[in-house]
Amino acid sequence: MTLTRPEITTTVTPSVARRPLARWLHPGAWWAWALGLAVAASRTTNPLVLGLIIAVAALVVFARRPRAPWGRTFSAFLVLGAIIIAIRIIVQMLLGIPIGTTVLFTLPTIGLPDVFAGIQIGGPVTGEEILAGAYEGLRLATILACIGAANSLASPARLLASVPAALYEAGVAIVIAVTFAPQLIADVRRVRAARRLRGRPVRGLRGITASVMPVLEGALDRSVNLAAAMDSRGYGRRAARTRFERVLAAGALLGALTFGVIGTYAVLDASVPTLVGVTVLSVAIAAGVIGMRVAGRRTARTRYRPDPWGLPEWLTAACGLLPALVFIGVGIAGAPGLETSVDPAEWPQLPLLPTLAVLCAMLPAWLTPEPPDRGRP
Amino acid sequence: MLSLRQGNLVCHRAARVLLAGLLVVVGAFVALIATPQNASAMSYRYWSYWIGSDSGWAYSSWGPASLRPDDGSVEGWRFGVSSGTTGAGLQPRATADFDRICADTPAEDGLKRVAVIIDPGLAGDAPDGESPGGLWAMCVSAPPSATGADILRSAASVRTQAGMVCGLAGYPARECAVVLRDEPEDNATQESPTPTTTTAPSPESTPPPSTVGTDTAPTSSAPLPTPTRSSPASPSARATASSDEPIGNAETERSTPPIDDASPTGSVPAATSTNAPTRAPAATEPSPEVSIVAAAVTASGSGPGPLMAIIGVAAIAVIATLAILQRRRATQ
Repeated sequence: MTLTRPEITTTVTPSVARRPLARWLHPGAWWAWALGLAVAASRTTNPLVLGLIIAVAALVVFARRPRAPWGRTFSAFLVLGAIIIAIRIIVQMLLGIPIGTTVLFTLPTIGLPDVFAGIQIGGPVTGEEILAGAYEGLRLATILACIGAANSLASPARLLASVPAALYEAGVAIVIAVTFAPQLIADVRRVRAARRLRGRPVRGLRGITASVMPVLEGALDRSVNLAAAMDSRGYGRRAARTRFERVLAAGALLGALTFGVIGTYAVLDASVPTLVGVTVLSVAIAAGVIGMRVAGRRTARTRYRPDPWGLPEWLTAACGLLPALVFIGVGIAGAPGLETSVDPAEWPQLPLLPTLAVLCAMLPAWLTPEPPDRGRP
Repeated sequence: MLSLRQGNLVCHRAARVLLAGLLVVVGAFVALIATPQNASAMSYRYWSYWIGSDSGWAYSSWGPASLRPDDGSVEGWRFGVSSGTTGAGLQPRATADFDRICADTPAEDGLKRVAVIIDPGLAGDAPDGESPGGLWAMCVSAPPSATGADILRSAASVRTQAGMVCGLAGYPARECAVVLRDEPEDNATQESPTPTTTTAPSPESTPPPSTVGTDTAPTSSAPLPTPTRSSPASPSARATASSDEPIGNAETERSTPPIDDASPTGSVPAATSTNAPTRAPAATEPSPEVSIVAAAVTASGSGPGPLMAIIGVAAIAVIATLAILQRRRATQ
């Protein structure tokens, strides 16, 4: 006994040290990473860069997605993206103003009254037109793929658990809704089965209207029960706040919304100096942070097992936000490569900085800990 | 109970004061944003589309793809910086003279003749590192159903993006209808290129500046004067200091010392201060010569090769393979 014990420790310790502890990454980090990539994708029509972004997102998803049901949603987003590209091309062929000169085939034209002088249905379909439709569809599909990546990487329940305290009530409501939605479907099935056994119509208008009532009744019963249970466990308790705090929170949040709207308008409107827009937006963000902080004081509870925000989270968020910043900067500087010319059609390029930034977004596949429910063989 | 109600009252009063304060701030910002001074500080650099007639040029409110010009009409394209959406002051610098351009092109049965004048604009309006060529015109014979866009494609190679005409015959090389944010007056250096660096080809034989301002219809003499540019109140946020004008240069040299109104700060470098005087006599530009071409002017040089595309596809394939491997490993 005394001999074997040190042997075991010496063999186990190095392997544990080499592999980081399996834990959930903070869902906010995944969302920051994915939204950063989506912002980058929205700034380009270069099919190579967009393809790279999709490939990078797929790599990270397949390397770090959990075995939970939401982990399998990424492929559905890819399929949805493919459908979007197809729809975009078809709409472009039917309605688009012809671009370029390479006529592939001609669709029959439908005459429209003079009011719609700018719109043409049918007519010649050019290769440039299809290319333009494909590029724009691909951009939309890439943004969708990024959102899909965040969906399958981050647990929705954990994301709700880490919402700011000011949004606590809303978070609880969403959690209840998400939990009860499957039960509603089970209810519908149960009621329909009961009606079938009694020999009553299940389909048609009568069948549906007759089964709506029991389903609603069941849902109401359940929510009343849940409310009673939550009440008896002390949910809804509020911390005592001073009047000043209440007014400050409401005012700051209202101000944040107002300044946010004005700031967004000022940033988007080219006739407003950039400095004004950025200043107003930063005022809005500051007011929002203060408002959330003050409003969050009304809930006097601690968080159960909060997700830590450590080095992997910082790295993941940085790897996603870097492409967004690089793409916006390169776009403002007007460097070539982000826009691919369709008419005349030219080969897409690989702009150096954006490509490197996208490749950097691949790093979370190795830098992050593995999810705990995913054992290595 | 009473204290609660009192508290509510105080709360309401505070909220009302806060709301009023917010409204004041919002109003101030809206006023700041909506001031016309800011609105006029925005300008676009693009190819504008003009319809010519005997009385001059008219800015087309239709896109070239939805306009079918008649036989004997004149179309103009002008590259320049315009503030606002009417292209004021941006007419092509040549007269819409159909008879002169189409003199050598005989009319044919079943075809219409349309004259196209393409004016790449001033060197001062050119994007960084590029210089505009001279004006050219072409008499296009086309089927009656041809649109303005078809006519234009017969006269020049066209680069479009998102339905907009971005470049004609390779000028400008990359950009597409960019928005220029002009800073307030004292920062005019950003916009105005130094008048001596860009060496554009000077096709024009500069007529004496006395011809400017005569609003008479010009005869078909070689250096066409521009009657339409004579309005001195052209809202020009652009720098009209172009290198291919000896007159402009002479004027800038002459007018450097007595600047008092344009630059309130005394320490403005010479390049900035020349901007203001050259802006005022914008109408004194001599009209350059128009070269009439027989075939479409195309962009020189071809686009980039497929090498980068092949590398990019290979990179995507490598990353996708890695992703599939990860997926296999996870499902095992």
